[in-house]
Amino acid sequence: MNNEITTSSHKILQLDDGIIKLICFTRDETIEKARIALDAFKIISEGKKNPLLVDIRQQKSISREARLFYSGKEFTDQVTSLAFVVESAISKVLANFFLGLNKPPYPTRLFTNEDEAIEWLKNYLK
Amino acid sequence: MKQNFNISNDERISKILNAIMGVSAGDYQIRLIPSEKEDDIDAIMVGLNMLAEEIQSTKYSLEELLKEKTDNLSKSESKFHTLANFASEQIFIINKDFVIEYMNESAAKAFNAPPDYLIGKSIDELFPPQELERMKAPMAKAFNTGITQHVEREIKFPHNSLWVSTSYAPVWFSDRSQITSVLGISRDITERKRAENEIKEKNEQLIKLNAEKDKFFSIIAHDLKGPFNGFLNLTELMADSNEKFSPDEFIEYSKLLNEAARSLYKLLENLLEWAQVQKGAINFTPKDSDLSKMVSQSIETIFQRALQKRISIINEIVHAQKVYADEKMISTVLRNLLSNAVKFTRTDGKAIVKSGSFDNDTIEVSVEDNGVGIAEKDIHKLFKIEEKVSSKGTDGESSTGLGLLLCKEFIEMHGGKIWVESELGKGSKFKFTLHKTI
Repeated sequence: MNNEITTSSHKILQLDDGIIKLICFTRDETIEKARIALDAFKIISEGKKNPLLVDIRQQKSISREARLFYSGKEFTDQVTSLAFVVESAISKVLANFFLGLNKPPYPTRLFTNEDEAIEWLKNYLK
Repeated sequence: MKQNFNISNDERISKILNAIMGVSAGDYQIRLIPSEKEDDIDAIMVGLNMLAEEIQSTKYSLEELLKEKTDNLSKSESKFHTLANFASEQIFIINKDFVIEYMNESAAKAFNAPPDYLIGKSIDELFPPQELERMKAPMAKAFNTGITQHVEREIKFPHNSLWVSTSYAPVWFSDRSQITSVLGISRDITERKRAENEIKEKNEQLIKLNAEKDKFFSIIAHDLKGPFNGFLNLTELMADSNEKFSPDEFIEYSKLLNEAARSLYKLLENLLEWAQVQKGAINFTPKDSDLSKMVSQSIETIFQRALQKRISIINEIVHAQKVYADEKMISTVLRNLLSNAVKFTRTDGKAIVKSGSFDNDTIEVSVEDNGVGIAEKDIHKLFKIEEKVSSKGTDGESSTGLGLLLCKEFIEMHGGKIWVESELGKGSKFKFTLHKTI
């Protein structure tokens, strides 16, 4: 069973407790990169719904299309809850934009501490 | 993509201000390149970029939506115009101030003008003042109640008129919070109304004809048959037993026969004359006539009978009083009224014929008696064919009521009217009007 995949822009891995972690190490997120990330996510999660930890600390921009893709049905069907890990003012702006304009249909929160984010996501493990 | 790391904060803030002004002016494609500092100023730049992209995208979506809606509206309007102008009904939309907002070609045709010329005009400018209140009432009601109004009415123009059936339906805002205007759909029903009136007239004629037929059969069945039976019996008796009659009996039977024959003749005369009137076969030929002379001649025809009952008949008509009348018809009227006066007045009574001015052009003629009079409940039945009013005279004289119908027909042909004033036991006054000599 694969529990870690790295694409040109993302690293997707399953943590021990079943939470899936998605690290965006691309600076500029586009829809193409987002699609590849979702394919990798599906392989890791084996088609099951999981809590998701998204680390966007390195990200500097995200296109509108990519934002819409992450809030679309294809992506949200795979996720039970979402925690953003942010650090810089830029990553906070990106995350807030996503939450404000795209309103995901599951519990979502921003964290600056990864451990706290994982603790919160554990509430949504089945 | 990478910005010079050494760019100053002032320069970056200046770029942000320029970008904000650009977005304010509608340039949503503007994008700022953040530095490598990743500080708050960079975050503002990223946020501004995303806002500009969102606005641009939303604007594009809204423009697309507007275009789609406008196209749909245009198609819908085109369909409405085609439908409305194809319809033979007159379709129009009026606002609260009674100004025309829409009018189809059929409606505009009624004003001999194109719809564009009429749209925007108040109905006050298009209809005669006397029609406006009646027209506005159902429109106002549709506005005030929100309930569709249906009206059928005649619109009178200076040179013609037409009947229209109109429905006024309130037009609501899409959220039904307010009525914006009233949609009217009118149909020309002049032909239908004409046909309805024709049917009504024909129906009235049929009712009248039916009543006339009933009256005719009633007279044949009762009034004519009765005297004839007496006549037959008497003549049978005279034929079978004439050798047994004394001269006095023979004279008495002969008188009875003569009286029965006269009565029958008079009835037949009225019946034939009435039948002629109903057929429209009688000629109405009025001329300047001497009323006094006509009255005198009429009195002569019933003089014998009046003498038998010792009833005096007085002609108080001014000598040589002229009227514009058909002498034959007015003589028939006078004969019938005088005959009735004698019939329903007891022995030693009297009857007076007199005249007076009714108005400038008309005189009133009356035949008055001090006879038995007429019960109030019967007075209104006297001149109606559908009512059966026949009673015996004071000496048992027969009466059919036909004479008065004939009088009414003849007087109305003269443009006059006839009526009676009477009280039971106190006599009667039969009055009619005639035009004076022209």
